[in-house]
Amino acid sequence: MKENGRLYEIAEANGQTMRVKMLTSHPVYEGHFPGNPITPGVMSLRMIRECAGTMLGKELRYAAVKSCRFLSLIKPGETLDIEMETIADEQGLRLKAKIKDCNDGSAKMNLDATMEVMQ
Amino acid sequence: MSTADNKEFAIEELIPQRPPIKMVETFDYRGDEGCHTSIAVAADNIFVDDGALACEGILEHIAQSAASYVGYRRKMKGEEVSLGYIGDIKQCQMSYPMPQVGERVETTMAVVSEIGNITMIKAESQVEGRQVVCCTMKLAT
Repeated sequence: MKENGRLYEIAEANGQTMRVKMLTSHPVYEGHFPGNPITPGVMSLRMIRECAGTMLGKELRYAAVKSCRFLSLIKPGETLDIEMETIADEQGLRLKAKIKDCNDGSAKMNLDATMEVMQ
Repeated sequence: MSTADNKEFAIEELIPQRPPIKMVETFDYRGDEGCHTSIAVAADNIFVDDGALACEGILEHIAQSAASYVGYRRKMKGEEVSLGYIGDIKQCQMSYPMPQVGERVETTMAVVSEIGNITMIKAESQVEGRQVVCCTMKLAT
């Protein structure tokens, strides 16, 4: 997907919070949906995985998703805050993350997952 | 089990997603219990990284499988197909390695409940008989 253009850019990283800007040029918007660009929910999952990896300096993959709730649509052009918390537990690396609207703080997505570090 | 198949409709008639994020290739309606779907992993698939389909691509395939099911039932009733969104994903387990380019992902999807425009499903995706992803998902259409 990296070769296909970028979905977002990191505007600011501050501890466990990253501010990202959703870019408008990603080819996924040609098909999701024609004339009505909406960021696919699974692309938000991918963005969190990548941002958590950047924060930890490791490449991560999902081992399990306990709960992932999509609360409000994300559209290209929006600026979002991703809040992440990682906890090492008996199952591995637990990642809890929230995506919020940068302006009013309203929740866009809540995630509770277990990650694996890719070798 | 019903042997009804999907001869009447192209996938594009059942779901609004279009390339490069059309993630269902075959759809086999199995009546009230659900459906069976599949997609072959192409090298230019938008979710392919280093020759393998990322797990998010399989989750999108599962979501579009559910959307195909809802779309099929709407079409059979003469209704319009609407945009669909994932409400939540739960109890999701990944088993690596993820499918490689050239392999086919086969998904069995069962309907857990349908209330209004919210459809809750349970799905299991396999590659050559090996489970790669299972989850429950809520779809709003």
